[in-house]
Amino acid sequence: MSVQPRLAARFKSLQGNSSLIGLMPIITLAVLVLVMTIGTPRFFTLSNMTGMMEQGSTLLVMGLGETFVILLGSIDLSIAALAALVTIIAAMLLPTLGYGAFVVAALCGAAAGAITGLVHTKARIPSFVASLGALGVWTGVAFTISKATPITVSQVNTHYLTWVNGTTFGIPNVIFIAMASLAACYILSEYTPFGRYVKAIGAGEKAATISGVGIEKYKTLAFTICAALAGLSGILLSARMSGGSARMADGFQMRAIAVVILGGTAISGGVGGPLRTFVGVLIVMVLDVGMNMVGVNAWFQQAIYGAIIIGAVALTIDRSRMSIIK
Amino acid sequence: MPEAVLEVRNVSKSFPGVKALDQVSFEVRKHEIVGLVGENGAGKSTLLKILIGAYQPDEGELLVGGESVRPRSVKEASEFGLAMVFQEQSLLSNLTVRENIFLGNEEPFIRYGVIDWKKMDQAARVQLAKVEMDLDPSTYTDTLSFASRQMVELARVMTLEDRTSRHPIIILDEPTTVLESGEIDLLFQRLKSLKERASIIFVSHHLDEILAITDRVYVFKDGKNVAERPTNETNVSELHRLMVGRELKGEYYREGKQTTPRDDVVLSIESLTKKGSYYDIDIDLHFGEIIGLAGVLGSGREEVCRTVAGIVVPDKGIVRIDGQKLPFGRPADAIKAGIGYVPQDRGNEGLIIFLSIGPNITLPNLAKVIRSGFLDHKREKNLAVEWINRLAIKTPGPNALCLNLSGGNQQKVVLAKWLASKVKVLVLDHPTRGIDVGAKEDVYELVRALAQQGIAVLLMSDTLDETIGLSNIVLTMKDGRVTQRIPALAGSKPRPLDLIEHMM
Repeated sequence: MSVQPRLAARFKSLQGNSSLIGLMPIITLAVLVLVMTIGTPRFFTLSNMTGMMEQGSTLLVMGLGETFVILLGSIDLSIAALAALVTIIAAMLLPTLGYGAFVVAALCGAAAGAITGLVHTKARIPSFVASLGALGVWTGVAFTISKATPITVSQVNTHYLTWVNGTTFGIPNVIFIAMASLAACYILSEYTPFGRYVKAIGAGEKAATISGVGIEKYKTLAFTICAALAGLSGILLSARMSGGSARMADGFQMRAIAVVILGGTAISGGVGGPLRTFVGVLIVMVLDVGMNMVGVNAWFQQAIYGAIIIGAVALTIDRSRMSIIK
Repeated sequence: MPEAVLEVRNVSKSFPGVKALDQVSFEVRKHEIVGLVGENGAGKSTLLKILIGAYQPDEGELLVGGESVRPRSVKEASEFGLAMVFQEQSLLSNLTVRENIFLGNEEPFIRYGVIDWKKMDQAARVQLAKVEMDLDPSTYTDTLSFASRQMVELARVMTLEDRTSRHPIIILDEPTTVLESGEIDLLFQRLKSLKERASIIFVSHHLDEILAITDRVYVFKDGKNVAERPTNETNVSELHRLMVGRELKGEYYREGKQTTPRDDVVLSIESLTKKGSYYDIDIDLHFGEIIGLAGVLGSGREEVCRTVAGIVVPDKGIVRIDGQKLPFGRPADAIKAGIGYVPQDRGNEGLIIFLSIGPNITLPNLAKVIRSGFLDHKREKNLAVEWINRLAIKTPGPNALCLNLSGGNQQKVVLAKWLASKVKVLVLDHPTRGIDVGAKEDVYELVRALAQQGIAVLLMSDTLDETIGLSNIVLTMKDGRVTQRIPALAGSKPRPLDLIEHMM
């Protein structure tokens, strides 16, 4: 027996204990927090926790959207590019439209997702390709309309940003926004036909079709919701950075996928949900802090997250469901 | 008696809920063609898959040339001289004949890291000569006829001779299904001359072919090897009796509970045509009626059923349900009209095995468990429990994934899904495939109960016995047309042979 099947067999036996696999993200988080707490007594303090949550809010909102698309068994590679485009739209429109700029920006995000979804379903293009193409388009548009220059929100308009940047009861508003998104996505996933159908499509598209589920409708809807949340995360970014730039969401795409997978949503679709993504975000936030303390520089952190995604998929993917892996 | 080159001793293999092979023993001798016959589900394919290393037996052993072996992959099996010509052909159509013949075995032709095509051509010609084929080895296989491709497959399998020192044992699984009669004669001629070099296991549904080509026959039934006969000492009717071998036929299919259909039509199919599949189909299905469609592969019966289920779009014709025209091509429309489809491919199309029973049952009618816009999980669970009790579904609990249920219990979940949707018409596409005898009887019982309630059934079965036993009327189909309508009243059922003459 060569090494490869032996490894696969070991992964399989790991999965055999499915409750263990389901708990792994939580266990990982607990271990990380424990290590950090022992290593740095200041880690487990209220202000540090709040700071981490504040940092993670934008990522959580983006990851929640990606969760629905991955639950379908698809992938959206364009959401960070879209979020960057939205930062520009919001920053450019803010002087003239005020709060309306956020509404327009969010609608642009949702519309962009609907387009990606329709290209994927109507033209029957794999989501990987459709969203990769969209990534190119949104990035190109973002650079063009911003003339490749960052746009800054002028001092007179910063009061429009307090709903994101301010605090309530001492807690940053952005945390409330992220938590509200989490709650909404949880309800969407667990208590609506949309959530049920998304999981059914991810777990068995053929059977769902034969049972009369409108596959194209719900897929398009999932991409739209994903993009709307990407739009919201763009708005949050724009407010926190007081501006817009085509490079503002650099690095977010991989992290958004990482939090979904680290949380335990299966890349093959059907299993997972928003709460898991929340756990994934917490893991990434703790890892961020940890890596900074150990002295891993910000550039190399990307490499580590890349490796972590592959590792997490290797551990959790159910190979018995895929006879051929392309 | 020639020596045995392959011996199978007391092999058993179980799948969840089904014992596919039960203490099976058989042997293949040098230079002989052995026939395997049995109904679908008798265990033939499981045995073949064990021989080529695709499945591992739970118990028992395989002996090749007297040595105990346990192939774990197709490649390992080929090293023991065992190879199969697949039912769905396995040639790669984007490659040439020579590349297909030596696929995975290119090393002898590689010089300085590249393939020496001339050398491979020569070697390919040698292989093709073994099956008496004169063919340019650089031809792409997608340009060949089905029969020629089959010969190329045989030629490929015969490379075993050069790769191992073992006596080649070639497995042919339903090789004649798609051949014309002239091509079948040619295949038989080639197989007879291949006997000089190899032994052959020949699987077919066509008993006359078995009698024409084999030296010995084994009959399989319900996972057991029930008989062995020298071919020249048996005949079609004896083999058929051994294969089916049921005495209490009427009770088995609950004939006593067969009801007379109502007078009003629920589903009418009017001159339905899809070129290449079926032509001018007219069927009136009454409330409470069970119509069985009988026909061989290519008769078009499956496509007719999948059209009614909203999957296949016909070229012309109308389907009416309760007088309303049915829109084609969307299962959702068929479901809305009251048609439920129990597909053949239970694991992929019938249900979502990674979901539990409740979500599978509510998939077509989620509205049932929605309260003020939100899913009511408790209600869904109650519904699941209700159906688990009503259909006696054996499950660890209502939250167990369907993955963990046996085939028969999975099929009950599929049926529950449609019964909970209050369908008027059920299309049953091989409803008892791969489920054990007890579960089959549960399904028969259920079908009778449904007919009693007025639900109409369009049935396609694996076996003619099942079709005849369950139906009120059997429609035979051949080459896409309905050839005969044969009443099957309780107590005066037609015989399988009465149907076969209209199917062939």
